[in-house]
Amino acid sequence: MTNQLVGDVYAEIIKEVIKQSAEDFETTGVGQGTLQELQASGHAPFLSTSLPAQLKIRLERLSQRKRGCENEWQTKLTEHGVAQMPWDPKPETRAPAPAAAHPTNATNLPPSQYASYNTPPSTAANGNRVKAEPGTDHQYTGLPNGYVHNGPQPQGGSARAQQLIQQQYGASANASLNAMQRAGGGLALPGQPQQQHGQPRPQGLQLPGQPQQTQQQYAMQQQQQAAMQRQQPQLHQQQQQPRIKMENSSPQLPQGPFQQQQQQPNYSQTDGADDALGQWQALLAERRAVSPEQRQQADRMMRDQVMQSSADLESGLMLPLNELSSSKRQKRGKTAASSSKPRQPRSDIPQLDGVADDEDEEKPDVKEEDDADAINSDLDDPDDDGPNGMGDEDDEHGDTILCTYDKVQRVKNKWKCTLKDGIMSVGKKEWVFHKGTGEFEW
Amino acid sequence: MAQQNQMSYELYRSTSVGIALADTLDDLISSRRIEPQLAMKIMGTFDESIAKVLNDKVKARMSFKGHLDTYRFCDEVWTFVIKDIHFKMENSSTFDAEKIKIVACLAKEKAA
Repeated sequence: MTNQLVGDVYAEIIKEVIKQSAEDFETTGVGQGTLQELQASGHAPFLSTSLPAQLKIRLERLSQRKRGCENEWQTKLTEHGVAQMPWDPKPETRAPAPAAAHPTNATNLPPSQYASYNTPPSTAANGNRVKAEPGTDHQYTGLPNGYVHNGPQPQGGSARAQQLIQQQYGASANASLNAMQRAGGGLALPGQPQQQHGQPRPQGLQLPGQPQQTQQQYAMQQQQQAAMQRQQPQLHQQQQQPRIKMENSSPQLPQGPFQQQQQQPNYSQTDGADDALGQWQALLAERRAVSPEQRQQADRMMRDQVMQSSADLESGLMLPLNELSSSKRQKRGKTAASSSKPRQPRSDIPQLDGVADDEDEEKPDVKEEDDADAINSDLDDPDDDGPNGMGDEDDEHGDTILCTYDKVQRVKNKWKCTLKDGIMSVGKKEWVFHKGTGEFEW
Repeated sequence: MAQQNQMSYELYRSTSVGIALADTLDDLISSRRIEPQLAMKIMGTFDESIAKVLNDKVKARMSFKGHLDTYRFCDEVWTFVIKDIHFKMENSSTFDAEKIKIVACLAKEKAA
């Protein structure tokens, strides 16, 4: 029972449905229009010559529609990403999202696909590129490359720290910067990347050029040195050197922004899969979650409207007409003010006792608050687990098996069941089975 | 719509194929390319077709074990919520799920 099977089965289902519905398409589509024409042709026989042609055109249009339906269905199904579908072109399916989420299901996609997204190795990407937005090119950078990219972060930090020192302490800082570079001596020499481990701390202290060095400076310097050493083994080292030398020779810090600009493209992703996948998954989830959310929104809107209208009615009932509009506005203004008021002080007080359990009505996904004020009808309860509530909502955050059963037996707390013709959806993946047996105890 | 000459369940409508079909039909309806009645009819056809295809084409077997959390039997529909479930597939691959809900309608040989 591989996942691959699902695609074939679904294709079969689609084919079957389309075949079966062909008649319906024709009867409903052609029916109304053509039957009238047929009727008319009884009265006017001269029309009958053109009738077959018309029918033909209609049928063609219908079949187009049918095909449209089929294609759309297939693409929609592909969007669900539950399996590799036979109609999908192999290389660029949208399936990567689920495939990444469940790497155990190796049937879906060859992992080599991700390699094609990778940017060329970081050496090219480092110095010469001018300001690429992070998140455009580098979005698809794979993990292995990410490690190569890792260096620039401390690099950027140290560069900025240097710049900061120069800005704050001006010329006097140059001495310490020089010292720092001398301390991290190997940095300036291309040939010997790693031999200067360990020394910098005492050296930095002893250097003569920095008598007025403050403690803060010292701490910063230490950080910089540590950062520099960390970046030593990196490939970017070579690009880094000329910059630092330039800094030495021209103390007016013109290199600050320049450096920063160069750092920017180097921030790469090192914390797992790329964002695009996440975005795509979010999109998928959002698409599926749209109906309950919409319902809630509609509920809220209705409630607001009812409250508003009742408030209007209350205030306006006993007033003469000409005063009515102004009082309405007042009322509205008041409600707006009162709703915004309690939120203001909250922002001033820092929250120390954990995550904000927000009772505000702003958040669309807070359900409890809604329930408290709602009409308390069953429809308001999103957690209602009635037999009808297991439909679409369950499908998105629950794993389900939809099937038929042959028999269900129980002895004490031991259950046995035989299931048939099932479609199983676990973790956004689907399987089909003809027969399944289950044993479980209560 | 399900009670034509043979009874078929609407159960499978909440699978991804069913949802995809419903979305598609909804699009077609909202773009005024088909009538809602036709869509209903197609969903009925889908109920039949999916049952038929599952019956004819699928041969795979699987088994599972777990802890039954909730069970319900109403109108000949079993609903189980099983936790810590362990699946065994035909090709001896296995996997686990934390929680799964099984909705099972009575299988009718004569209907199929």
